Amino acid sequence: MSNLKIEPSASEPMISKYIHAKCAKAGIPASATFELTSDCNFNCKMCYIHSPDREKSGGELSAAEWISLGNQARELGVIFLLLTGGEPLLRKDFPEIYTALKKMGFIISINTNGSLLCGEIEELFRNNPPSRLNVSLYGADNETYSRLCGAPRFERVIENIGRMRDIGIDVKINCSITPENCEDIEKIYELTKALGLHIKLTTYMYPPVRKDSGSTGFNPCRLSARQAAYYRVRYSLLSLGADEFLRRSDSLNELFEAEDECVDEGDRGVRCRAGRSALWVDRLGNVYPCGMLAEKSCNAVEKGLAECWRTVRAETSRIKTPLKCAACKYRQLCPACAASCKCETGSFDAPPEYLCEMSRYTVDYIAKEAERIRREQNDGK
Amino acid sequence: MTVNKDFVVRTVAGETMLIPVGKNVLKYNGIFTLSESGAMIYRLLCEDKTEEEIIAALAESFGEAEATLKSDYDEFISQLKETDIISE
Repeated sequence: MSNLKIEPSASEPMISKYIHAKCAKAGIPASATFELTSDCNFNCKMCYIHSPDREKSGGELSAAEWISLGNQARELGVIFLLLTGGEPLLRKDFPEIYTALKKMGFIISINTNGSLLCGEIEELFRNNPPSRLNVSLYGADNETYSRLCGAPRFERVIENIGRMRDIGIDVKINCSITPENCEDIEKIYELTKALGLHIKLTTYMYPPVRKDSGSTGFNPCRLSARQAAYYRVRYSLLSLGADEFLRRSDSLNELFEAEDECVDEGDRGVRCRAGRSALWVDRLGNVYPCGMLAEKSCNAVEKGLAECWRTVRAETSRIKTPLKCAACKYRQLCPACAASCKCETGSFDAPPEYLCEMSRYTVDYIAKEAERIRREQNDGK
Repeated sequence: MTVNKDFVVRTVAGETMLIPVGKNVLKYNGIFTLSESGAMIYRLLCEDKTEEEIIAALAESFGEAEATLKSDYDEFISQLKETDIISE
């Protein structure tokens, strides 16, 4: 018997990688995301889901339907279940849904803005804790929260994170960098470091095509490609420190020198787990490979989750990403994926120019920072 | 022996796992994976089988001598007790 620990706050434990790899080979979804609602008590400018117009949001599945989907997911083989939204804790029947899903033997994580992790929810999680809470942090003070989300709840969120950690629940921070919070990057880093929290910070925002089908290639609430690169490198330097940053920049240079001119057509398929060992169910029961690839799909309430998974898997296997990406020397550091190609260009096989530009600037900023660090270190000698 | 009800056994892609539920999530913060023989022993414990019945079933499945299996069985039971997966 092996006791394989899910390390607290690690980016991803080995057991998860192992199970996903085995399941991908067997055509089984190891993980599923249930997008319980598009409702939210925040109104973040860059959100791809939430619409303040509730009439437009179009409803959501009932608790009984979600519990049925949970049973079907269990039958299919899902082990890791992510509950998300909108803000999933807003649902009045969240305790009912959550309690039923927990009994089925999933490892459950929850995406939340953290503002509702108190009161009844705190008691629910005290008695029946999730494996992890992924709390989205939008800035380092109430002012940034107001500016970006229309909700000055920063202090409440930090307080609630403390409540969850007092219970012993693992908390991870997700942070998306936008023009409204980019200058908080140092404070966000210092805060998460002081609290001992693992943080996943991203400077790339997908065009919100799910909310606005006309937004292909366009997101008015994101940084420019150049700025996204700048803040990405700035954060890397913060989190790694100068010596590790230099070491990795040297490895990057070696990677670029060892270009492989031979590209296999097999390199053009979907590289992530979407549609291979992971599936996504939206608030109406539509099934997708991932939350960013929400086009023609199968409805699990009408056809059952198993049939929808077969459909999603088959469609995913036909996706070909750009040849330019497969052959690109920046492939290892570029966040491009099938979903980003589709959201940026309307097509799976067209290169996402925003990300191409972001990668070029990233490499440039890495080189400039490395040169600056070396110069300062030499001057200091 | 009593099997701790705060675990759910899941078998996916040939892997058998014990997943903690309830407050057990905080205690273990992980998954237990079971070998093929371990999964069989655990299943038979859940069915309230005796030690003799379990070892006989293992012998039939794996073709090993009962004396060898007894030693492996004792070691496995000891691990299960240490981790509170079972108790007397």
